[in-house]
Amino acid sequence: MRRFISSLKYPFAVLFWLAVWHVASEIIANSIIIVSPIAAFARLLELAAQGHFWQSVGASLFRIVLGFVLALVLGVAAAATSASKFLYTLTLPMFNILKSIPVASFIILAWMWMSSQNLSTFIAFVTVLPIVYFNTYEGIKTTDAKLLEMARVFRVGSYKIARDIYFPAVLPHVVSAASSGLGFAFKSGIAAEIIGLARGTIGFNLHTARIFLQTADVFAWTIAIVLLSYAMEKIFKLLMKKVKHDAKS
Amino acid sequence: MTPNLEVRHIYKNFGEKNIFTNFNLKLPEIGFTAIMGPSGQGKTTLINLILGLMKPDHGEIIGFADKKIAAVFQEDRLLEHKSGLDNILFVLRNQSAGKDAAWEMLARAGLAEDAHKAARDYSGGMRRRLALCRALVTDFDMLILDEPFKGLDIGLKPEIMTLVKQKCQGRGAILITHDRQEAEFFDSHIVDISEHPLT
Repeated sequence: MRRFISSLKYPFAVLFWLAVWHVASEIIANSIIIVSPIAAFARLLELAAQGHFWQSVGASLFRIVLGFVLALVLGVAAAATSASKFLYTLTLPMFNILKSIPVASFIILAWMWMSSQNLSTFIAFVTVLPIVYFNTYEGIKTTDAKLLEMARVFRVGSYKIARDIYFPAVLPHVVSAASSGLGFAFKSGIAAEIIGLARGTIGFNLHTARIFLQTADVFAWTIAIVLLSYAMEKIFKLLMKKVKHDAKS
Repeated sequence: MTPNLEVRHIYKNFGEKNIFTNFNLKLPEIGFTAIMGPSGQGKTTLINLILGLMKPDHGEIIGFADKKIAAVFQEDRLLEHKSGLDNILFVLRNQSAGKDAAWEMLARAGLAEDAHKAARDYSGGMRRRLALCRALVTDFDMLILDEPFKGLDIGLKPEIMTLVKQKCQGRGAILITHDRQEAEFFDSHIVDISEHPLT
């Protein structure tokens, strides 16, 4: 019973904030400034019944996830090269710069270099890359040195060392970087679509809704982004759970 | 005694702390050498120098580089998430061929029933036996044992020591211990590290 009540806490908190949103929309009573949650969800359902909604969702999802996956793979690979002091010293300034450049500056710069259709992939990539790199590097650094010494004494091959010593040590760091990175990928990727006016994407629809003062559409698309990001994070966590399970067996 | 292994004119400091000043030691390639002496005299440092895990400030370690070495460290150094069997297979080059040997070793050390349990679920004594099994199953020329019987269940200790003695027949071993009876059990050439420099 206590567990059941405890499991209701989070949904109750969500309902509370939906109620706050609803009251705010009633008080303001101006559908150009804010629409009620009922109107926003109703609009989302209307949009979801249209083919172009799913095309836009698919296009944005594919490009942003592609950028995220590339950042994940290359971030881990780049961190793996940090075993070489030379490569670490060489690449560190690049990752520090990537980490500190504001996303908006990157979007504007990248917009000049590439088509708006590829912009969200690139922006998601450069946003997530330093997060994955620094977290993975931290994991590598904290790998048990005594186990590495043991493997060295027994002349164990590099593949086994990577699989049985580095992988379990680094995996939690990669998972935590990727979980937060996924959220950043969506935020920055959609921002890139809005600024770059990438046609047939979620960002472009948001931009159009803003131009035509279709506030319900803005809210509906925003809810869609939040739900997508949440769903992707859940899928990613399930995948990682499987990877961890496979690594143990 | 055929002393082809040598630690020659070793100097080693850790910051301000001096461990070795012109330390010399000759070791036989076959048979046990027991290194004894009070704590803090550099016994484990000497092992780390021999294993190549540490470099001397000056001096040479001769004859160990081309040897197949196995070690039981002061700490167990196990892959915690892996099973006992996998911990042994980890150090074997040919895992499929080594599986029988691994099982035999686990059985002799009384660990066969727990072979598939993760190392993190082993008791202290079991962990020590597993660390010993991992070293003994390899085709070593020289076995390094840093207080290997510490924490072993009293009842199992004689059996495990006999197993070590058998596996080291015709091979070399360096044993670090505080227990003279252990050193004598292996008919060791005893070196008291506190009396260095030794030649």
